[in-house]
Amino acid sequence: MSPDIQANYPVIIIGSGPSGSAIASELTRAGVRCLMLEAGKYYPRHLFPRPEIDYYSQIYWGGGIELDTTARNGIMRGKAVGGGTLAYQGIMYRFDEFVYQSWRDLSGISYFTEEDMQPWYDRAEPLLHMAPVDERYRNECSRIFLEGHRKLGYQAKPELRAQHNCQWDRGNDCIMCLGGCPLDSKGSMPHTVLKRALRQGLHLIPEFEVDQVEVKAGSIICRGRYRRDRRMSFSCRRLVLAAAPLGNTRLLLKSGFRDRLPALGKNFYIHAQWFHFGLFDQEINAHKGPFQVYGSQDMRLRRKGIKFENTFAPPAGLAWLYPGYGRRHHAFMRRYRYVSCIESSIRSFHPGTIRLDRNDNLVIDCGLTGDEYRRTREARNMAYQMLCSAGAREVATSCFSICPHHFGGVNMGVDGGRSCVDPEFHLHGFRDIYCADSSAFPGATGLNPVFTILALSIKASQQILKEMA
Amino acid sequence: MTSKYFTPAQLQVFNRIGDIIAPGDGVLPRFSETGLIHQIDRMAAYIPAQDAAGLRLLADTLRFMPDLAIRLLLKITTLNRYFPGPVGANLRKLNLGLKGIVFNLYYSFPDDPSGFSLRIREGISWDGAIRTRPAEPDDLPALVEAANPLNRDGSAR
Repeated sequence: MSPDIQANYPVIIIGSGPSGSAIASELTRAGVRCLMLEAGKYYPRHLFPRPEIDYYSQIYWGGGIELDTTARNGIMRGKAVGGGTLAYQGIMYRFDEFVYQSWRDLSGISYFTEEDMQPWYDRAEPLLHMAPVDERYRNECSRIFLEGHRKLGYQAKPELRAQHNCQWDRGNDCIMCLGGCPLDSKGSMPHTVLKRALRQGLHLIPEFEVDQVEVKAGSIICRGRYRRDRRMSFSCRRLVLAAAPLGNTRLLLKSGFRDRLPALGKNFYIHAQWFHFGLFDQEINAHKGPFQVYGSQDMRLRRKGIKFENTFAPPAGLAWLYPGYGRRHHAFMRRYRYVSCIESSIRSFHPGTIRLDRNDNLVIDCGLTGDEYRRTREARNMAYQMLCSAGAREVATSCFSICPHHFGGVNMGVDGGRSCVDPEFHLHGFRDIYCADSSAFPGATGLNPVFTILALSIKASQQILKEMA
Repeated sequence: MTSKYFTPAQLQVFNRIGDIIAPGDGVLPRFSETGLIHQIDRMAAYIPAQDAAGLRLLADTLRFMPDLAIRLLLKITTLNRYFPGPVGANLRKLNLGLKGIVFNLYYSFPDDPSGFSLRIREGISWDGAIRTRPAEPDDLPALVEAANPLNRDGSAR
């Protein structure tokens, strides 16, 4: 072992979100010695950053948000042990034929079918407590959401959420858990899948940012910084990339993989999520109890690449999203309890790109075209109709979209010229480097991705174990 | 008024901008009155270096401009959709960046001995809460600690 290498492992996993955690859990269960490297900190549940200003700054890359080249879309990606699952609302979807058909068309991979993926979902399901929120806990914001859908003739259903024992009847509000759930009720990775891996012997180094991957004969070296300034390296026989689209793509671009992977950084997709606010005469209290309880589940909307959710935002986030400033903005904020919200999520059909500038900073082009903006306007008009039909006297849309769901950059496919990851999860031309997180998704989905990331990662784990055997 | 990332003069400019974005309305206080700009390092420590450099340059540029000019600049940033390409994108970035600083400080209710955070919280009737405690003890910190092959200084265990 070279003297600059700290230690050698059979498998190193970069990233501790759903993919890294699921693969770590499967491999350590089979007795494989694994090291996980995570750029973000570990936050125990009693030390989650509070207040809002602190959790935006500390648990997301870029100090909260990373804007694309148009500055219309803000990418949010988790930077903490557990990745984005620390902040998510745990919405779980098994993708259907509608998504898989498009994935087969884009990738040429035949196992993207409901039937072939079902066993992997079945294996992922017991890892998290999944249940819809009981109807008796739905708040006024949910009622408005349902009523709006009914009046427009669209179907909405309760979302399947990874959560348990939230105790809303004792006054708990899910909006407080956007910076991490202090009750361990939310199915974030650290308290579920990752915990299992740790119990099985996973090694984990938080605050280690890998900035270069080098493939040498028989081994892969991961170089990076520990706690911001200490440079160190670890080597492994096999490497798993699980740092999500921007993290994986940046690392591979910086490490010079573009020459061997011509599609690297291409085929990047987002869900652009716009918040539509309705101001009512009566108290709504959208921040109380559970939120993001219902979602539109209607094929007519799916075909348009539109999904609605009854989400909301805490005060600083809402103030930032709401257009304008000054006294008029104050007047709106003083009516915080009278605000209801519908979020529209627009699935991008046209690929964007991720590249690096001269200083190795990310340049994100979401690739949105007139088609995406037309559907954005259509969704905004529908949301306004829903809110107005429920009695809103003023409506407004957020001044930018947030994008917590991003896909591709290291996309899967059979053609090495148009994709980066083969059907068996290796980078094309690199048998010992694997990727199964959302960066490998062939396209956007229109649905929340975490359940599928878990399922696909468990499938990838079996491939890794097979090859190790 | 001290910050590791901005000079007092730059903070003063942010206060002037803050007073346009959050001018107060009788119930809610004026931004500069709250003194919350003192807490800007809570954000500044985590934003990318080039964004922080951009904010310093902006503050230095606006320092000698009258309030009316700053007000006009902010107004132009809100008209970003009428400007195509990079000009519009930069106006949007400026708008989001300045609103982000002011509203994150103002509506996050950080600990604040002067009591202004409490006044803002009451002004918007915010009462989000977690009122229960977890039933189970947290064994995860010990697991994470034991799983790390490095000491905090980077030496091997």
